[in-house]
Amino acid sequence: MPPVLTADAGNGPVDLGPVLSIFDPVHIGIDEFGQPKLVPLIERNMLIGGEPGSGKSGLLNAVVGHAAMSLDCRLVLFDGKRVELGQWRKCADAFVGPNLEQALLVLRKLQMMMDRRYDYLEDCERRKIIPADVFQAYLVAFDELAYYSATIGRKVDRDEFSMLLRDLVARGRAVGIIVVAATQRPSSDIIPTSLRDLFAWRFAGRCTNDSSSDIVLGHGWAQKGWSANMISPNNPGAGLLISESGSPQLIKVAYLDDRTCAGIAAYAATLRDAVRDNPPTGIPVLRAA
Amino acid sequence: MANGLFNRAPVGAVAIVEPPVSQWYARRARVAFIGVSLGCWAVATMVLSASTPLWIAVLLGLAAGLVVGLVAALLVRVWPVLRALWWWSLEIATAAVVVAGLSLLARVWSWRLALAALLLVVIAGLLADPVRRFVWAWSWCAVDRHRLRLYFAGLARASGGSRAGLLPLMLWARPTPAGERVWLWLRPGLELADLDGKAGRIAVTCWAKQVRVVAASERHAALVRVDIGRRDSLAGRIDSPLALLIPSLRLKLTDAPVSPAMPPVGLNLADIPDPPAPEPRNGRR
Repeated sequence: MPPVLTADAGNGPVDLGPVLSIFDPVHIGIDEFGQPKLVPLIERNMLIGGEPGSGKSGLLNAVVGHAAMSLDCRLVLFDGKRVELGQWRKCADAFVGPNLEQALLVLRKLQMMMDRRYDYLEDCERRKIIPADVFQAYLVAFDELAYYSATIGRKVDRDEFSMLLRDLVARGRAVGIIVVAATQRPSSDIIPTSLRDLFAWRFAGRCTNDSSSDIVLGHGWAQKGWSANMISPNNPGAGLLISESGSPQLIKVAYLDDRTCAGIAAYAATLRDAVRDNPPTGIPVLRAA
Repeated sequence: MANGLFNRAPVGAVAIVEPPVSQWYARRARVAFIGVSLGCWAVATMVLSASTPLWIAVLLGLAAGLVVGLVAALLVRVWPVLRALWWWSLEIATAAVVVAGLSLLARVWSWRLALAALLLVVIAGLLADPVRRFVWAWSWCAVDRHRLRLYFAGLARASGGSRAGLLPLMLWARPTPAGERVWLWLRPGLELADLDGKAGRIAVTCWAKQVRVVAASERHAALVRVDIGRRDSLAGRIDSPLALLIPSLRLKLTDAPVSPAMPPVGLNLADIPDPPAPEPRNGRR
């Protein structure tokens, strides 16, 4: 059972509800043997690829849902379609729609925040974020990454977008910035190869050919028999995940329907508001369930 | 021992212990007999010589050595049979419990009534879905252990090594939603890499759809896990456990959320008016 957030306004403790932590492993679905698949996300990044309808947004919503329920994590969301991550808008510090200028602005601010966090860690003679730190982790989620990096705006802006994203992925790990990016085919024109290789966790939903699968998972896996092309198109949510073991694993992503997603988002937003606005009536604390 | 218990078998007979294994244990039994006899003879002679004349101590020590050596050799010789009994201990124990229960019931009721009661219990178990699934799932675990042992015996035979020495220890097996999961402890002479590319054959041996063999411990290379898949557990929809944390979402409702503030107007192409024509560039048409 997750810990429960409790507020005490002077009339005895009141349970506000269960919360999670971004330092907990995130439940993303089940493996091919029916066992729950949990992946630790703190200090890691995740790349999600696959053809339309393959379950990319399902996985992204599962990850964002966990982060939204984690009061030790803040959200920054980029969604070219606005509706895939739109339900989490009230939980997020920043929500960027189909606007490259706004995306660049938010990324620049994230870069400045990252630099200040490193200054702070250097001053404290520490190397990385720890649970219950003075600053919180950030989950930076991109849906349809290609929309920002290869579709809209001027080339110079798109290049700056890729450069800022690379910096976040490369340096953000230790200061609690987790990047989760979803796109249909993360080829070199969408995301530079050197940046793509920085993602520790990779999920390939169904791909149209072996080459597309290798682009997500890494070169050579299709030759070894691991190709997301073999996944049935009638089984959305199934895909290959490279995680702790280093070799691909067949999993099925947990699905959040619209109503459930909206319910969790509303609950998480209420909890976040309660924590933010609560000091006049008492300080919420976490206790074990 | 050429015509002994383990070597000669009539046509059609099923061997509990196969001839190569039997011969290997026969050699070990001879070595055990010689080693234990000599050792026991020497120790017994030394101990007895303190209280009896030397020649009597030598004779008594020889007799003791022969007896102890014989017992040791016998134990080594029948070890494969004892091990086979251990492998089948679950089935033997189940059969023993059923027979013992029946005979106890038969003392109170008649045999017919006892058999009818047993039949009733079996039918009730088969009809009750949870019981049937439970028994079926754990029965497959027992089957997997036997089938895996058969596979590894064949592997050892094919590699030309001593068959008995390469059989891994079957530690534990439990059901999973897709099949079963078995933990093995590999013996010296076998490693996980030896099983690379053999998952298909193991699956065939276990009558399964697919099998994956992975390391089960970060400390011990000998501990491996065999995941046996019989069903496609990824076919259905997997619900996120996040919803279970929120009381209002535990009730499953399927209606799609609608917006109370924004009217559903202009959501079809027919409702969209034609956009104005773009302005001509540089005044040219």
